[in-house]
Amino acid sequence: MKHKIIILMAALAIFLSPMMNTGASAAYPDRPIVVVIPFGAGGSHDLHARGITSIMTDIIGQPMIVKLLPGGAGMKATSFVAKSKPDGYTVLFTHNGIDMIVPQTRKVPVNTQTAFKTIWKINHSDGMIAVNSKSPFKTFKQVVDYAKKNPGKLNWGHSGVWGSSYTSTVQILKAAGIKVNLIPHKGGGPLLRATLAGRLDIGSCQTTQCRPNFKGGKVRPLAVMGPDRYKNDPDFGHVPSWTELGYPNTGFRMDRIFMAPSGISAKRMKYLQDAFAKLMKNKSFKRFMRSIGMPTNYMTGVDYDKTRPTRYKEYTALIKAITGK
Amino acid sequence: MLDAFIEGFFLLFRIDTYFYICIGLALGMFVGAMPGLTTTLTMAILLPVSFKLEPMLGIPFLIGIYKGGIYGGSISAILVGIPGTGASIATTFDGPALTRKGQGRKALEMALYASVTGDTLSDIFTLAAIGPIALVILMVGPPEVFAIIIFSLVLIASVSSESGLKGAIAACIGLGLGLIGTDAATGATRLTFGLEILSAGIPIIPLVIGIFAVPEVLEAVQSRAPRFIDEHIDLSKAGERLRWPEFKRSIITILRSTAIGTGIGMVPGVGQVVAAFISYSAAKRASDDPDSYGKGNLDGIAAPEAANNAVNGPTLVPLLTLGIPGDNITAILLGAFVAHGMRPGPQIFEEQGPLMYALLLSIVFANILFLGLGYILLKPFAYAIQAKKAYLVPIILGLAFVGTLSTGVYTDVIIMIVVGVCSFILRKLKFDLAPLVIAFVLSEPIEYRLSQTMLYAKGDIFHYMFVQRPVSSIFLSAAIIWIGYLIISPRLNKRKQSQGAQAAQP
Amino acid sequence: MEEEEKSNIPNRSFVIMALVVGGLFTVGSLTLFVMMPSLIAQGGIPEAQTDFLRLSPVFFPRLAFAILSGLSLTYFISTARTLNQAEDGGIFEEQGTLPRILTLYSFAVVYPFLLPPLGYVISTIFLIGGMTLFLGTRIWWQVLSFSIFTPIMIRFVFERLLAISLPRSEFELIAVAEEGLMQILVSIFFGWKG
Repeated sequence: MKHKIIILMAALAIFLSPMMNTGASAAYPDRPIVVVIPFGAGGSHDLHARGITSIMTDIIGQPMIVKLLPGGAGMKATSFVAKSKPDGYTVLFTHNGIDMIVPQTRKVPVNTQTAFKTIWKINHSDGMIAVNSKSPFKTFKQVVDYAKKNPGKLNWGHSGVWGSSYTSTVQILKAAGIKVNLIPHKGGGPLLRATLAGRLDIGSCQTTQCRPNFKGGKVRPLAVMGPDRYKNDPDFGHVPSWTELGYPNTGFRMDRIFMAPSGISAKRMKYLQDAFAKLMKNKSFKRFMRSIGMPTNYMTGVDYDKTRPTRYKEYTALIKAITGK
Repeated sequence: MLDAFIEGFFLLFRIDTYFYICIGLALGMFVGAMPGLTTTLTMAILLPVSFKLEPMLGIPFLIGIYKGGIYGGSISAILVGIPGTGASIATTFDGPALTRKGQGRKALEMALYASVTGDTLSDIFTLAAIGPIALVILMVGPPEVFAIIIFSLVLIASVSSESGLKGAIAACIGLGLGLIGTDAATGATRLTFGLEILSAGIPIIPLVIGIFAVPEVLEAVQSRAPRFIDEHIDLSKAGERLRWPEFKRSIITILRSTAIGTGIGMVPGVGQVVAAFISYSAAKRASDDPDSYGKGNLDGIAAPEAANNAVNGPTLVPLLTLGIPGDNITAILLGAFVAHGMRPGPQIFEEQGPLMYALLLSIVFANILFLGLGYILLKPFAYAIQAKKAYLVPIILGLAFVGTLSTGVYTDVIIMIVVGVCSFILRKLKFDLAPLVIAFVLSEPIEYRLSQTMLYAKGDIFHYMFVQRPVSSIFLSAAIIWIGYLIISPRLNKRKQSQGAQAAQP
Repeated sequence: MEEEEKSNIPNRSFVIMALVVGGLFTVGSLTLFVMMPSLIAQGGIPEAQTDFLRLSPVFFPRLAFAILSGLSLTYFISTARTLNQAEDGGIFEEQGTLPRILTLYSFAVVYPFLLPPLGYVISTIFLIGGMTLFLGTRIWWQVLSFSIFTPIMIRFVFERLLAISLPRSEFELIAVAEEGLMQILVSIFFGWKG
């Protein structure tokens, strides 16, 4: 009996001894940071995240893990992060559509404008309208003309309701006054596949995944879904933008943003923002972004937060114009 | 092109690639065996590690994890009836029965050999026919997917042994559960009752753990036997290995299942879970002894295991040829490729030919390592199951919780517990829950593909299906005819029996 | 499986249980069928919907519930028919199984509620300790060491090696203790790496 008590004491002692270590609390971050992404596999966010997280690991000394939580129009991931402890170990990597448009189109459990503060904006990009290279359409104008003569006939795909291509598509349909057969897909990947297979007359894609297929001669981009061309892009510099083609104020500029729950401490937020600032200057990061063909037109979190209220109101007007409500 | 291939072949002569493949395989098997931990998560976590290694080390490493993971799931499926991954659900039909008979090790070995065979054959096929496969995959559109799913459902239903009524009820429940959440076609949210946690649907991991793990634990408690293995089985035989004649008997099943798995791999959005079920059902249909399935037939292990590994090969094709990943795992691989400056797509075999061929070949060779490593690693597992329940059950339950907690979403645990007790009750009532899982997994693609098909058809369904998409019409017509046959044939048999009985009377 | 089909004379408790379940399903699915339209929240915008999508979001759920209610009604009726022949008997063969199962289940139910305040390690100690004792092991220091060792090792493997985070306690003290323990183990296992 005696030695059993000794064993118990020893076990307790070992177990309790770490409490002696409670001195200065460990430096932040002392464990991995989880980056939650509201999209499924293979999208542009996923791709960005892989590169960003692996390089950030060197900068902050702790791994950054990607957690994909697609679904619910992005709300599943958004509310997950909003509800998590604001200790800086859970962040959201999303885009402005989820942040500002989706909450205005349906009942959502989170007020994204108050629940989140921006850490950093990585970049923004506009997508492109593209057709299969076997398609008879060589310019966007031809598409519009055809659609006007044959309403509802063109198979036009988008990557998900209120996703990035959906918003732009719906805008252009209204601006050009055409009706098409909209076919939903679950994300940019399947959308591009359907375009390549020829099932869709028109699809859209982001430059990253478009590039290898364009170089392989399989797709033909017709227009950039936004105000500007891709200047200085060796492959896509020739593609006109919607504004040039006569449809101003169309297109959805997707800002890729890292957000943290607003309860986060100012110190930790500053730490993260400084880490991202370092990331922007990091050589491997620049190389990675070049290899996926994405721009690095970043903005600091503080600056971005200043723009949010105005953009929110812009989107309110946009949604009203589209839905007529 | 041949030069690139030969050049690639020479890139394989380095020991460190194989070293990393082995580590990946071992990790994958471990993670796969834990219910609730997904291979996807592990690959995502280790992705940064693979970045720092060069492509010939980093990418085979990830692929090793992937392969190991599918097999790992069968370990827990066979030993305790809890599938470590969705793909091993079909393995839980015959696996635990074999373990209870003390043949756990045999079952594990059969699973290993079947997995390796299926994987190797499918990888070789992929390597050889990558161009045609890419074309086929591209051509498979929503109508084809829909038709194939319906056909598979009929096949699975046709071999379901328990009363058709209960199976159908389970399937409807699964269908209903699967419909909770957001409809992809219209963006409408259904059946969420205002709980936004359900707005993305019921997550599959807590569901599967609840359906399989919790009732197993409760049933283990129910019997007072101190161990999982039946008491009267001679324990010294429990370590018995698979003998060649036993394996030989299953070769046809394995080949058939590999073909099915490879075919399913070419259909986007269907996946390993369904492939395993389909080949199990097909094996049962083709067998001389269908009643022994579910009671411990080694074929019942060989079929799903060969199929779920065979799905791997073609799944990589869209990634490599188009640069478009088909699922989470290929997305992670895409990340790995891109980080190394490689851009998968139509050009990559021209730009980086030798490296790509080397990688593909390493995938094929990885299977050999898989065989060896798997064999070494399964021994401790097979012996571990002989420990007392008092230790095993808490560990299993603890790990089940860890798996659910790992997603970080707290309510998953509640889902697991609620589903668990309901499944336990249903099992007591002799409901077979496999149709529930299948229906749950397939409910979403069925509706989504049907919606897409209708949109493509622009209102004129018949013209579209039969004229423009003949392949899908073939599958659908076959399915409908089969359903008719299934409903009518019991009646025909009864009539024959009664006529025979009448004729036998003088 | 050696277990033969149970004798065809049904067990009364089974039948009652089956009736309850069947009844619940029938009523439940009928309710859902009827209520379906109100359980939907629209998404997307009407203009973007085209005329060709004849499949409204209510279709499949309603189909599923209609079939389910029909099937469960059939089940209910056919089970009710066997009620006359049912013999008395309990659901479980051995006496006292129901309390065992309920106890075990209550462990599982209480566990998630223990997690936030107590954190993973301590809650799991209770879970594993309780279950091991419950399942018959009586040698108390075996129970204790097993139940302390297991959660710590699990936490270590999953958190440090696989980077999967497990719940932390809300009480600073316990959380810090857990963290410290992890650090010790890390230094033991990885210390040699320098």
